[in-house]
Amino acid sequence: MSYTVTVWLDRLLKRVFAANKPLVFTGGESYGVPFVLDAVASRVPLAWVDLQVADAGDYIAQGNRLAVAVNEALGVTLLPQALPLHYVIEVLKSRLDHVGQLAIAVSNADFAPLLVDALIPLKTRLTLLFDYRHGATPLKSNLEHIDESVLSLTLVEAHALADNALDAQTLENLWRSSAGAYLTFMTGLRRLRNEPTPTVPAAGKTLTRDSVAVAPEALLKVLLESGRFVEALDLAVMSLPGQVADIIDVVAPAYQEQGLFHRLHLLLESLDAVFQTGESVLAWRLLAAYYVGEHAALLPEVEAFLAAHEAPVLRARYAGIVRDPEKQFTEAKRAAGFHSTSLTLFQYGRLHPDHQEGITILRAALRLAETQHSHYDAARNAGALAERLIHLGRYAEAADWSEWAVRLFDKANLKDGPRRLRLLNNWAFARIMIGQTAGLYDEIRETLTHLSYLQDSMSDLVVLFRSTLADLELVLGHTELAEEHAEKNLTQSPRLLLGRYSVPLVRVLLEKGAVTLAVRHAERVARLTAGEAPRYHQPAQLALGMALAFHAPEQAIPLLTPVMHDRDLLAHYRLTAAFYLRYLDASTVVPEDILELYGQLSPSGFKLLCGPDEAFRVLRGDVLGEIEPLQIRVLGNASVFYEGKRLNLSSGALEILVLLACNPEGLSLEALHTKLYEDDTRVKLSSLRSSVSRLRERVPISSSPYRIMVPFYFDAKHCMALLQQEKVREALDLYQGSILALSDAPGVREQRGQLDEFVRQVVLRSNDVEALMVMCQRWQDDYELWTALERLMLKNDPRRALVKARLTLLRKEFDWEAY
Amino acid sequence: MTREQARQALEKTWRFKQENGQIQLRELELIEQIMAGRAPVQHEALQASVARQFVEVSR
Repeated sequence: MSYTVTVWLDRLLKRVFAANKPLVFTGGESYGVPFVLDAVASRVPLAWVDLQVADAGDYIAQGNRLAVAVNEALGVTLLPQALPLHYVIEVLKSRLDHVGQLAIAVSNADFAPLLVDALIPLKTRLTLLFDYRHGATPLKSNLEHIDESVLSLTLVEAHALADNALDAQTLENLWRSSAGAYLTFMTGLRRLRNEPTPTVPAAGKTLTRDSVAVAPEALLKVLLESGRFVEALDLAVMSLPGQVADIIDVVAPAYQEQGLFHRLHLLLESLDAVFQTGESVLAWRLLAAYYVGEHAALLPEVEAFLAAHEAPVLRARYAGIVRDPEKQFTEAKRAAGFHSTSLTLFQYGRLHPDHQEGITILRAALRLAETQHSHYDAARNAGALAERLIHLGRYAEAADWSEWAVRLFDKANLKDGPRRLRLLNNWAFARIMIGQTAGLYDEIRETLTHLSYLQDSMSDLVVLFRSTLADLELVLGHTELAEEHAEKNLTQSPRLLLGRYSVPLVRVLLEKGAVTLAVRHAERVARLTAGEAPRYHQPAQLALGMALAFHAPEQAIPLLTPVMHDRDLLAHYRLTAAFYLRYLDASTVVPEDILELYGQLSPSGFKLLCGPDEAFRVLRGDVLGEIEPLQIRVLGNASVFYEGKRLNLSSGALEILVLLACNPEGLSLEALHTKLYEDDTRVKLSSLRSSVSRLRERVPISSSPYRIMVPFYFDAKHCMALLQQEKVREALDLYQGSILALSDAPGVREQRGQLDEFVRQVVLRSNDVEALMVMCQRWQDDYELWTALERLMLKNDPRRALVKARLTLLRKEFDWEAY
Repeated sequence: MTREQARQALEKTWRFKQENGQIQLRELELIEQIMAGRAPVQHEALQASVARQFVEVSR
């Protein structure tokens, strides 16, 4: 709304912007607090969180409110929804640097003391305004209180508001009778002038002063037609319970998507029995109860209903919740057989014992969701498809489907944050296996940091992300960190899943050479899971087999062999077993379906599945096709291996080796000298000759011309080849940095410049948001890359805020636009 | 959770206020939608009171 800044408002705004503490307002509407907040919004972007009484104690609802308000104020999707308040706060904290100036106002702050407490530490970066309307205010010294005495109009301010329209006595009487309360005064003033009463500003909407009384039926219709499904169910349960069954399938998905299961559970359980019994109502009751952990009490009622009715939707939900795996499948099959919907097919495909068949069904479930334009179902079904593909070891397809589902989430602005995180995690794992890890590390580490503030809630997500991070740390060579994460997961794991979480820990311990400790861990876990179903026990056997391979090989083989052959196990367990068996006995016959998976494994995938490197060098060559005895890696941290042993080379020797690798046909002494020193004659030819001789003692190099005499692998050349084939993501995975970034040798500089520019051009041409993001993060000042990224990025991509902030900064630095 | 427990938990947290079978509606946004024809409501009482309110507010 527009208004003139009056003397009163001006005084209060000065107070607000001069304060160096969060502000606490009391006095509410009548003392004009909403008018002050609205005026703040005209000066700075204001995220105005308007809490409702229903939000009290519901931390997901509070998180949603904060996310919606901040996203709206900034015009980007900065914060996720359907996640608990503390997660949202952590994301806000970590992204504060990208948001620029921002104020957060919380109206009805009385309802959410934890939200207030969590925001207060952000006071140095944010203007914080807490609007208490129900009496209880925090008495903290680190807050500045603006109470009725401060908010009250002075007589002078009242005169200014009246603009000389009243005589002095009438005005003073009005001022006294209103006790200086702004809204009371203004309402009186307007009445005297025969004008409409003032409109009170509020978060996101404008409220009228007086309410309209309407019949609930009419209002319900309006709410449904305007897509306000959360309110619609509230109204129906309160006033029109007879209509709940008719509208539940329309309104409840909004609760599901926003994670409001607690409220949904309360609403549906409060209904009289007569309104609770239809299939749809029962199916949503079951889902809500499941998410709040109270479904056990509901199961007898559900089972009785299913005994009397076919009820495919309820049956499919039941199949997803009941514990017995056999029952899960038979119920899902029966539901889908009776009626194929995107839900029944999702459960049927997800639970089908035959993976191939499961994939076919999930594809059908996905198509069905697409034809019905149900984005949520489509993303969920694609996620399940990706999970099954990971199970089968088809990582490239799994990565494609996970990415597709994550993008759909953002494009359709779906709000189910936890589901998006699961998709992201599966995508990350698949990417490690196929070698598309560029840009992944920061994202996973950041998400895990945010999740770790949740303590007990969503602990399954914490464990998932921690295990992916442990995998990444191992692949990146951060063994200590990988061990720390793997150990933590094993400590927090339920007994049945101990096997699953012992595999990564054993893998890390073997990397460190701590074989005895690995054996001890694995033996303990094997004992604790003995006699359990194969899916729980076999991973423990695998972990023990891996550890024993370096301790008592003859005992390892009988443990590893059944794992390799068990088609029900995750493909990466089977691959690991196969690799260790081949290491122990080169004549091991690996099953066809496992051999077929070799082709898509990347070096990072291989490293994750088996190690340490020295032991698996020969196998690595077989699997990855790396047969060259000399391995030269200079993108990022340089390393040179010859016949499996790492060579510690001086920077000068590395430069020589790189120049020879770039010129496989050979270089004369003079040409090499020019490429190293150009016209600088201070380094004599003879001293270069002796440098080459020293290098020759470690790597076979011919003399005249100098040439590397053994087949070699050179990562820069490989990267170039990938770029030529437009395999951008694989190229970026190799391109961890420029060629010998610190080298000043002219020949190296030339090669470095060529590759850098080639990478840049191919990435720009690729229109691949992920690739652009990686390059932008590495080359923070490249305006062209950042603008290309902004152009291609989806409107709701959570990273958009970062891109916008960076571009603003770059424009400011280059002074391209006036600010 | 029993029905009574759920009701008690909801008691003070309804999003709408109900009096004499009528809902106290305060949101102008909704009213605007109805007036703009985006939320067609064939309910004379609602139309009439909404129209009155809308005229008053937009003045």
